Amino acid sequence: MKKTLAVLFLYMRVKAKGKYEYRAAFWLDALSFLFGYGAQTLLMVLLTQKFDTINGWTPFEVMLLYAYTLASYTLANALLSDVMWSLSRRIRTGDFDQTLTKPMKPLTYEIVTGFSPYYFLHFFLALGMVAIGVTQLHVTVTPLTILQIACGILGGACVQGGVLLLFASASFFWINNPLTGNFYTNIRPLIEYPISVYPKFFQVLLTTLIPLAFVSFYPVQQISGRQDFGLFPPVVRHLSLPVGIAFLLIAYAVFAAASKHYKSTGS
Amino acid sequence: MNQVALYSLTLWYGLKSKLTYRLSSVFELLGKFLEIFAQILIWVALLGSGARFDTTLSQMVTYLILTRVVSTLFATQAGNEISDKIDDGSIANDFVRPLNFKLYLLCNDLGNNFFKVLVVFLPIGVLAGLRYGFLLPQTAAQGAAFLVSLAFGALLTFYYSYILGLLSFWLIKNPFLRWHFRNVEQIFSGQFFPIWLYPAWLSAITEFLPFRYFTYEPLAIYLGKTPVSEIPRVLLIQAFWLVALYAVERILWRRACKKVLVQGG
Repeated sequence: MKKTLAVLFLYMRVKAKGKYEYRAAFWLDALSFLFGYGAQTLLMVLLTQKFDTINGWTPFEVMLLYAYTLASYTLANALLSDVMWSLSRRIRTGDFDQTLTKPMKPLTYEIVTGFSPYYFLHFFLALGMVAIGVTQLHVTVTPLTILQIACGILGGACVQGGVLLLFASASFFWINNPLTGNFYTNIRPLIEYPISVYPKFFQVLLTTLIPLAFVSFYPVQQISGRQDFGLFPPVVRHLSLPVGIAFLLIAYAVFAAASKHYKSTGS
Repeated sequence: MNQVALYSLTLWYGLKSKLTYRLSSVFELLGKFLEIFAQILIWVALLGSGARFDTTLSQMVTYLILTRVVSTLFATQAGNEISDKIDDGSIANDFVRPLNFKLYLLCNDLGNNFFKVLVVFLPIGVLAGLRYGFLLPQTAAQGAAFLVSLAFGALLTFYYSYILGLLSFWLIKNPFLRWHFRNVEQIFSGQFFPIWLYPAWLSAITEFLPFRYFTYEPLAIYLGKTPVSEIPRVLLIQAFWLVALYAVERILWRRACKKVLVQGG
């Protein structure tokens, strides 16, 4: 087990070093990430400040929604972005054959070779936003609060990771997988605002079938004290981590089953 | 084959290429529908049935739909294409082809984008318009000024993206740089929400940047937010930025031709 982990971390270290080979591009990309997300956050806060609230949610509560979404998104993407974006192309060109020859599970190999270090910079930006939000909302920070925030973000990362895995799984059936384009980029902003603005059926969808509401909407209410659960009982605000883990396990099972349908196109 | 026919064919093939993977178009429609649906509902929550800050729901729905249509119609993959072509070496072929590389990219993108607008945004626009109201220009002169401003904005959008793509000749690996400059463009161009709702200090900053003249100013003319007396000034500033971006593009292209590093192929 120790040797396996050492090999996995070696792969990730080599990948990170490869990205750093083009130094100027690496730092430009890193800084542009920070600037891009920081600017989006600023604009969102300005909008909510102008209108005072969105469906009762104050500007810094909305900022926490964005921060939780971003933090969990960066954790999930650091490991799974390459699986999501490149798997379809690798299957089409036959490069996925190489993955199957490695002495480890295909998904594990895809994760460690697709590791992207950029996302950890976003993660720290998101943590900064969480800190600002928590301060502005005058939340008393205790070890329990920190644990709740950590569980909320980890649970959200599991949910978003599960979504990425499910979308990537379709690559084994569709030659040009339409789910690995901008589809998730288009739907992720749905959870950057309170989902209580959407119709009830949509809130149910985001809580049950595709539990994106557990990424930000419910766990933020654990911290902010808001009581906005719609049709669901207040206990949902504590369920991010268990729901996230369960969803990720289901997504992994789907990916494992789908990968058995792989037919090489030659390489 | 004369040049007009050649570029028309490029445009046509760009449109036809989107028909190859129909399922992709279906999911693109679904993704964009959800995105706009969410934004409209957020504005419903913010504005309710009345008006706030001199903005009605119909104005916002019209603004959201037109912003998406315009930015989609004139979006370009020039930046990504140039970067990919440098990466795999196929850029060498584009230097020897008997057609203008820039015009080829523009026509190819227009073809792709016409398809997206027809299949994706037209249905969404019709549905949202029926439900929440879609406004037309109040006068014919306003409509004409909008079209002129829109043409300028389209060229500005293309040149901006093309210039970012040309940077690939120097920054060999910059997959995210263009995406985040795109974020900056979206913020300062009013794509997220209209600049007339920005705080005064931020609105003042946008006056000195070209981005608000990409899509916001044409739409402000359309919705009557720009006084008629101000329209000539807006068009003049758009023309100025167009000349400036054209000059930058020419300089970069000449230097890129000397700098090109073919990495294989």
